[in-house]
Amino acid sequence: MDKDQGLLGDRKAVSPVVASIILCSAVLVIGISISSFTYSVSTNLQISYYDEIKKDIDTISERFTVEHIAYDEDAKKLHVWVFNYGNTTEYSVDIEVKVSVWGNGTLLGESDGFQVIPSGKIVEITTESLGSLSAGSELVVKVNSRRQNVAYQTYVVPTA
Amino acid sequence: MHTKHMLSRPLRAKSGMSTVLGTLFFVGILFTSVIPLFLYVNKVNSYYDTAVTEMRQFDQDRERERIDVYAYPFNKTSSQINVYIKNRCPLSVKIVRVWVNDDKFEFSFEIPAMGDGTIENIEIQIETKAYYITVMTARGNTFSSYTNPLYYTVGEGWSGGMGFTIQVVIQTSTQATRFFKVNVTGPSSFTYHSDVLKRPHESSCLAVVTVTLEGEYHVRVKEGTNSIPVTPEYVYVDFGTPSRWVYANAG
Repeated sequence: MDKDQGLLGDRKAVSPVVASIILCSAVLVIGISISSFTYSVSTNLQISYYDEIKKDIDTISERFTVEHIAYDEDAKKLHVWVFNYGNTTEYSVDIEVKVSVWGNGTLLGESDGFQVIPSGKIVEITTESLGSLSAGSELVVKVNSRRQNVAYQTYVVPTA
Repeated sequence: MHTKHMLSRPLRAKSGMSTVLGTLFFVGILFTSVIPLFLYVNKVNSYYDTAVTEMRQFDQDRERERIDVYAYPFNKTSSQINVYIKNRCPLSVKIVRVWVNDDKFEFSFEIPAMGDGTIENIEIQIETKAYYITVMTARGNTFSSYTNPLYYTVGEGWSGGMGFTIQVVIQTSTQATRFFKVNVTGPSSFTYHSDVLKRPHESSCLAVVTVTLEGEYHVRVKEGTNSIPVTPEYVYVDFGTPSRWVYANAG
């Protein structure tokens, strides 16, 4: 009788099995949760890290120069041709630039907002009216990109 | 004894299963998330390093770029300008633009390392004024012509160029490669001799002769033993007109 009860009706023997099942289920659930969470965090980290590095690469890949400057004496405006010459590398990027003109440490005028220059292209940027500039005036033309790169060029206002 | 047996069995079973499962998950997370993340970061860093190296190389190439530019009018009264470019660096140079004052002319003209070439027939509007010619390379360098400024006067034609120089332009209408000998003699037994090569695709070539003294110089151009007519054959160089253009028509 005791033996039969031990084999079929031992209620105490069931609880460790149930406990084991519950424990395993808990480990599975927590494990899968942590695993999926870690995977998700890892993927997001990969994407954001690549984006950050890509931004840095774009910043160091920017190459532009002030190719030519002309002063329009009638309109009192400066025409600045900016050349994005970074196209010869595989890291070529389009750039957005703004031109400002300085004389004797004073800002004389700037262009209207940022202008896009596709890779390998030249764009003419016109500044706002700089007022009258006498012949021989020395100007500093500063070109700022949105990625915080700068190109400078000096310009002497020619005689008419 | 029975009680001890009853307690220790489930404890053993529990710790064994959870440890195995935990280890499996740990290893799984390691291989699916952590190691790929490290590998990816390493790869992206490597990509960044490559970009830095290539851009540094690009900047060095840009610094190394060196060309000599000579712009000259096609003939005394021509409205066309030719630009002779001598590449003096071990890299090929691509000319993307020529500026004549504030007018730009787009080109895609490649000059091999240590080679030379002529950009021809740049049509400009001529009037009495000075002309400054610059060229822009694909690497973002600007080079001014050594002959700047060129002066054009209505009725008189072109003048100016390099100080105390005689620029000899040899014009031809044939497409073949031709060799010319330029000989200039002048005051104080000045003698200059140079071989000039005209390539098949060019319709003219240039020899720039730098002279030290003012005075009259005799310019002769030969192809083999044949003399080629030169206009003017005798040129006078002084501080008033420090540079002269001479044209030889080789037919």
